[in-house]
Amino acid sequence: MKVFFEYFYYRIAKLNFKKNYERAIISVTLVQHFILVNLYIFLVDGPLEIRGKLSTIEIIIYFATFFGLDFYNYKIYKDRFDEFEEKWGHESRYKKRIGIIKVFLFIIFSLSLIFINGWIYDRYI
Amino acid sequence: MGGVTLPYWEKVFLDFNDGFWNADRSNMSSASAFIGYADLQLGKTAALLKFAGATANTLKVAGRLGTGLGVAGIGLTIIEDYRNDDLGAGTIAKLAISGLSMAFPVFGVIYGVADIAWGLYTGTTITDSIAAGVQNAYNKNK
Repeated sequence: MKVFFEYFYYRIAKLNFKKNYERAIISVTLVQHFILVNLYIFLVDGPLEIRGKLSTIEIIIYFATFFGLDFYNYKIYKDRFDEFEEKWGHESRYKKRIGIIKVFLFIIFSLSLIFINGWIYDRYI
Repeated sequence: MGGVTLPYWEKVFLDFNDGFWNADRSNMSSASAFIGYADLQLGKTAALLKFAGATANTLKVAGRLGTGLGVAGIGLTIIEDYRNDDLGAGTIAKLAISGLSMAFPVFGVIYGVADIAWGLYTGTTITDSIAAGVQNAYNKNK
């Protein structure tokens, strides 16, 4: 998984035309955090049927884990773009296309987890 | 007597319009609304710091915090829909708007200001109105 997230970071950074690699780091954080949140919903929030407004504690934990994870990702990915460019910069067109599809599908997967949880725990309108 | 049958897309648009203008009032005290507001304030603070000649590092921290809040806000909006049993086509619309705001920061700032100003003026944010419109169009045409 570590290599996949490195590749994820590299591909998003490559897409970013302004060479702002921080946005790539935050993209990694977003998908990772969303998976964690959905895991929490699946294991705790859903079975206990917690409904209604988010409590202050939940919001604090939400942001603490988000920024904690982002800080961690920033530490491990900062200034490593060139290293990844050397590793994956010369991929064949086929491999590159498959890689981009994998990254794209992973984003869709992480964002759609909440809809799967919603279906399991009947949270649709 | 049979009524006039509207073309499909025209009916979808009319249902969207109906949902948009009759959307429930937004919860302006919700966490995601507050985060959106805080994010905007942070953007303004960063601009002010730039004007005041702050160091590149301070600007960087303000910028990162602003982007972080914006991204974290996306997740929070969806979780709120989940917690309020409100998941649906409207949630996907909210996700799309948030994604566009992230991908195009200038659009994001302009949209963010308009969203909150409209929300304070009418009681319903543009995002919530669009989400209600999409949900209504989906419910009546699925």
